[in-house]
Amino acid sequence: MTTYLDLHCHSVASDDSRATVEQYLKFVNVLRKRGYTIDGIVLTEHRKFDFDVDYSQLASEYGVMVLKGAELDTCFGHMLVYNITRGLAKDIDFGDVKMDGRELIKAARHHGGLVVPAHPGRFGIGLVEYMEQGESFDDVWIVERVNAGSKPEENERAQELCQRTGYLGIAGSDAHLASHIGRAVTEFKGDIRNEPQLVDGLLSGDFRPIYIEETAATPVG
Amino acid sequence: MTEPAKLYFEDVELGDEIGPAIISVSDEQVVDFCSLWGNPAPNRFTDQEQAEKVGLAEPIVPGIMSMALVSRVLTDWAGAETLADLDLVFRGTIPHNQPLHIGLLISDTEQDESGNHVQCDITMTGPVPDRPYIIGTAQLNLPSRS
Amino acid sequence: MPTQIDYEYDHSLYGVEHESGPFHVSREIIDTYTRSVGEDNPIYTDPETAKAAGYGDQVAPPTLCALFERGELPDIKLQFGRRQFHGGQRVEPRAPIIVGDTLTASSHLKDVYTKTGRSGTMVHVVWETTFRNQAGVVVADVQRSQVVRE
Repeated sequence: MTTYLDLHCHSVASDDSRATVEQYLKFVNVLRKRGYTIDGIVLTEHRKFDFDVDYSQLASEYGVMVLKGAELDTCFGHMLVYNITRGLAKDIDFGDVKMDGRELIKAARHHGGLVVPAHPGRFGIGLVEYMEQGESFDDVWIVERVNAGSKPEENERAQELCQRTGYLGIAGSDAHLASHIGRAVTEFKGDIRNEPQLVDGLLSGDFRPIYIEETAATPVG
Repeated sequence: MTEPAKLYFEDVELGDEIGPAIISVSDEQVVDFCSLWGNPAPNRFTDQEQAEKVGLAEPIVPGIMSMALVSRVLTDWAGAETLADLDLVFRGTIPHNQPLHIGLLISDTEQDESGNHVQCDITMTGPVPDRPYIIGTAQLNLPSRS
Repeated sequence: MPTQIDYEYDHSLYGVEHESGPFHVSREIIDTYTRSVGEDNPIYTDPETAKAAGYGDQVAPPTLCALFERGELPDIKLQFGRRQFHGGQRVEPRAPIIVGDTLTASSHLKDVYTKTGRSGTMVHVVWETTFRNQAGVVVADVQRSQVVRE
């Protein structure tokens, strides 16, 4: 069993996105018609998490899994957070753009979640910048190696980081438009159906970042 | 009104790509545009020195001018009376005298009692599409053949 | 509800409509606008074509009203940053704007929020404006996001 998930995208709940969740799901089916495989998406809204919003009906209607996470601003760049619980939301102010990234990483693990630094190679804001300033991150072992919204040279920096440190890499589209969904996905060797399983899948280390083209059974021309 | 339809709802399909249209903006066009909103040249949009004073490498195309260019591409394609919503995020500074690639991609189609709605994703990039100057969406209301 | 941010600004602007105008839509403005952006649809450039299409006169391109919003918004007295740039713009045309129309604008502060990016901390200031013509008809809703950087 293999699961292909886009682990990073933003709906209109994020200030700079212009895509609704339903538009993403429609577009996932456009990608499927073109021969690509994508099982689901993880919404990672900027600086917020809505416990009450329920996408299960839409997910069922379009046959696309919809999981929820967040992308939080921290003093060490943006961090993707998966399996967010009420306990974590109580301990961490998601709107604080200068929060301590290390504290977030610890708090997420404490509450059963997992933090993955987003676009670590991005100039001015990625983890690489902070490591070059002498910062170290003992609790990081997975980073977003492929971010389809980053410049090619920024993804190269992320790849170099993984090669240098042995960090594992995930992939996400960082979509802000419907047509950008799924451009990069993470391939998991295993079945993932919900957020706790996503964290288990990440902790297992049995995944790899790929671009959507690699999901096609036969080359899509 | 009565402008003949250029495009019908049935002509577009989710996932269709249109363009890119390639446009460039001359120094003179920017000077002309700036004269419209009480910000006559020289300013950061028209003058190298003024641009550098505010941290820019060179004079740039104003945001509302680039929006007008996107609007032009949309109405050239779909017709003058079709644009219902144009929503743009400016992600990078836009240079003068360089090819600007404006691409559209149909990201949603919906028919309901209020009309035939088509949503386009929009990107404006330079010749290298690795980082868009602009992303956004437009909603167009198109006539139906039926 | 305004977003809570760490920087001081004038919160009293929330809930207040700021009126501006009148803005006279002359033929010269439309002609300069269409010329400068290379717009050649005859609805926007030729009065006779516009009249034949059922309009009273030459029509303004759909985003022209954004010209009038710029420079008319109050200073929110933000205690942060020095450099500003235009972060985003939305225009929803509601009715045609025709040569000879006189527009008025009603603007209010929608939100002020902070985020971080390649260039550091940024504060976004979002305004919403409704334009009406001389008959009181809403011709466009406009949203503008101004970004202030460190």
